[in-house]
Amino acid sequence: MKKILKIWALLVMIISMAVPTAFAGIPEKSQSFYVADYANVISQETENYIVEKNGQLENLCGGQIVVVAVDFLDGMDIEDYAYKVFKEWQIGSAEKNNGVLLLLAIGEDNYWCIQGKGLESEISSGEIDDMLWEYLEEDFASADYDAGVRKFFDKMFVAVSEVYSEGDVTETKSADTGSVLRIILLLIKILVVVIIIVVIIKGTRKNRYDTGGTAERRTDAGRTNRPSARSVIMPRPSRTRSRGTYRTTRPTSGSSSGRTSVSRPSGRGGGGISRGGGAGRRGR
Amino acid sequence: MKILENKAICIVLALALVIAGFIIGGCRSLNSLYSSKVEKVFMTGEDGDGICIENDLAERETAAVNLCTIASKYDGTKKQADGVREAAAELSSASSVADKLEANKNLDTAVESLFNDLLGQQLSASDEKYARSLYTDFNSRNDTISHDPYNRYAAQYNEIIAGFPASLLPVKEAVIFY
Repeated sequence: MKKILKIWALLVMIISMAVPTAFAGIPEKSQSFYVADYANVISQETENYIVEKNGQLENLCGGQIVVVAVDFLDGMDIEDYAYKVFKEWQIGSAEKNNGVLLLLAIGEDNYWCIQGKGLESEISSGEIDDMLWEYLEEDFASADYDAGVRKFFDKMFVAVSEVYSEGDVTETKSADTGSVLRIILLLIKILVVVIIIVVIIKGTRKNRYDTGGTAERRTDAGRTNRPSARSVIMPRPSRTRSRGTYRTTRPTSGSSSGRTSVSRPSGRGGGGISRGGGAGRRGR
Repeated sequence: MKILENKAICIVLALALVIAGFIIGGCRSLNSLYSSKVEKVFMTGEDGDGICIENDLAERETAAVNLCTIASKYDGTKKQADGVREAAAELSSASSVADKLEANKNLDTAVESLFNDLLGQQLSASDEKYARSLYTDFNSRNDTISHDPYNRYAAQYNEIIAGFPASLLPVKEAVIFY
């Protein structure tokens, strides 16, 4: 009896391993979700960059821009393949259907980009075609896939962000990230110096008061005449102050989860759907 | 009536009434199912949000007409542009799903012919960009049409009418749009 059970268990295991997934040939989601480089053409740096940017985009609007690189399409049409990947992975938010998928088929010398249902009217297939031509085609043709993906991703990131931003969102190249950080660090240093100076001044004033003065200032009325310590030390930022290049680091007013400004990508599909369409390599 | 006193005739008449009732009632019921489920998805979308094949066809017509606008600047494409306008008008006036399918295929052929002709012209940089963009939009709508839930509803309806006893009724199949 035990032998029979063991044989059955082995058979079941073998059969379950042989059973195809829902869509034959569709790659599994990668660990990061946002980049699935099965063709080994995208650098780790670019992968990390895409993951980081997707975190910002998700915080802004739930949007996701996923890049998949495979060697071959297993005999499928690239549009159908892209559609099935999108459907299986559920890219973008379920509420806004604002996902984008860039699929590279390296061995087939082809690519395709498909947008979610909610972006069809904002980013048409024609516009995607223009973006692919301008930002991806040249590098793809010269087999510099990493550079092409990076450029196209940046452009698409801006395009999707603009759909949801109220103000202007300007393109930044990866080299600008460093300068933004430097400015922020400088501002923090200035703020710390200001705080120290104010604390010193207040300390000096306190010492002066303690050595003599009227009782008046100790009443509630007196207190209210004094400026609040909080408003001196921590001035409230003006609403009209520049927010920097991307508004994506601030949570939107509609955000219900009260996220902090640190972008943490979800690492999974948001339930978005696409109706197909999109655009791909010309002259096919 | 004396004729109704004949038992055999009464039985025959009763059977005829039952059969007629079955046919008329069944057909009405299936037509209602078709209109409320299948046709509605075609015209207004699965969620009633207007994202549907009808809308996609309208977008295709617009892209086709805009392509004709570009072609009108170049002499060698007049014939093809006229063909596209004609096909777009035919699609616009088509009323049934079957007619729309046919008209859509004709528009495909006409637009492809015009686009290939345009590429053979000395297009300006902006015109070439517009033409490619419009052609991409035009074609991508066919992709979205092929994935539209309407085809799923149409297939389900066809399954119902193929089964017994619906298969006995003179009801037309739903057209699978591509």
